[in-house]
Amino acid sequence: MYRQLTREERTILNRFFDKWDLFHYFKDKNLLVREGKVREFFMMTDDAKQLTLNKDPYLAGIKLGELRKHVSLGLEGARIFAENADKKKIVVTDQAEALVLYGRDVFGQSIIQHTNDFEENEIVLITNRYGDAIGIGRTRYRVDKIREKGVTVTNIADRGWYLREETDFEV
Amino acid sequence: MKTVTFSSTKESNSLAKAYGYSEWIVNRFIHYIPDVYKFLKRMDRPSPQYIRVNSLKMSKAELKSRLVDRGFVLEDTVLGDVFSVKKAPHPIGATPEYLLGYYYIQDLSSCISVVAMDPKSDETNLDMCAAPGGKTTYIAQKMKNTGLLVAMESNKRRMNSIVFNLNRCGVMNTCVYNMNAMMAAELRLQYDNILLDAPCTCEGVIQKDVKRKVSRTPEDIEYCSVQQTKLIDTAVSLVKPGGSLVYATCSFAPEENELIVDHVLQKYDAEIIPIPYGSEGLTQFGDLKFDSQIKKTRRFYPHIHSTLGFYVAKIKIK
Repeated sequence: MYRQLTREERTILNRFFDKWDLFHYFKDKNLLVREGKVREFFMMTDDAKQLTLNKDPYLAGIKLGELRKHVSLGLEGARIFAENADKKKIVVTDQAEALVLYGRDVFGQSIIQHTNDFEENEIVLITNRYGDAIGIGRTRYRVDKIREKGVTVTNIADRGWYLREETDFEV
Repeated sequence: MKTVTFSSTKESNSLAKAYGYSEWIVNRFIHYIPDVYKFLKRMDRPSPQYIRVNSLKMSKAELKSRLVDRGFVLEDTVLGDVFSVKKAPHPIGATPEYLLGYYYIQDLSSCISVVAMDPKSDETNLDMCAAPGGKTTYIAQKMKNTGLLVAMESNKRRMNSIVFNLNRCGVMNTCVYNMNAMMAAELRLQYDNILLDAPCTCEGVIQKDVKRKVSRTPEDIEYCSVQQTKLIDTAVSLVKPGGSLVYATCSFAPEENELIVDHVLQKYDAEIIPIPYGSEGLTQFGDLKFDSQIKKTRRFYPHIHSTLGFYVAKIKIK
């Protein structure tokens, strides 16, 4: 069931967006929460929001992420974040890109660039050389050790999921 | 309505044996498909592959440049958003660009139905039988991700495919309902444009599923034709005055195509809008005769248009 955000949820999300310098980007966007096993939050157009609140759909708009104890970013959310902010990012080689899309973790040697704003055990966006968000990772080290040998970023979610889960094709 | 069938002949018998079809199907093909020998040969070869750029996320030029870098050979088509894939060093559905939603693997004919629909920004549009979401994502793209697009699908097992594709392609103007489109009036909306890509016998995709050469019966065509008539009646009732309805199937059968559109012309104040691609619709089949406007509807044949088999009609509701 989709519904409006509560004031508390709006505050939690605003804080989360602010951490990524995206408070202003999301300020006038239409966000709704879908209640289920987990609380998910979606972004949609004005008209889609109006209909959604009137007659509950199976899906409306783009899923940005989930609201658990903390906010957890989804794959489309990561894309929007990567396009609109330059925070908490690592850029990986072409070879690492392919491995990430198979669900593998990131080796320090395959990180060719990164921002300087994350600590150990933080969420980062994994991007390719074009800046596309190919996945979401969790750092195993703080920023000054992120390019050391061995796995330095754990793969939490990656866009290869679309291939692993997809069951149907258009004709 | 009874499916049109013809008496067995030496020609239909030998073609059915040679190409592995039920004879009644081939016998019908002989009566309305141009150059049927070439057609039957073409149906035994794999269908060409097309991709449609998702301009919500990426420009056509950049997509081409990235895929060419990966060793793909792409050719332009009659549609600006669609490339024909001439050479693929690995599956086109397994590139990072595909996973990022920068393109959709979609037959050219399927894209033509959306181009015919001509959806625009800030409209309210409906896709009545939406899974797996290829046309839905293209409609959203043409609407520039604005306004409202309602997508309906009655088969619960196919809902995941819509969710994946809409998310992958970054569509945010769409509400998807798991409901039979015949119940669409429940939403109490009227639409600027409606796409009805109706469930059909799928004769046009035999290249992808050869079982259909023998698995269909004349009763299947009759059943689909009845359902399609009910769906198109529903669609007409939901179009705003002056709005349009695009009717499409991936079947060659005139009882699923021209007959359904003819029903609309007979029953409602409507006219056919020409579509600048494909071959003319039929105005006669067996003892069936259709309105002369039906010529303006379009048929797509694999051996002539290098697409899957498809039928598209654009109907303006006055």
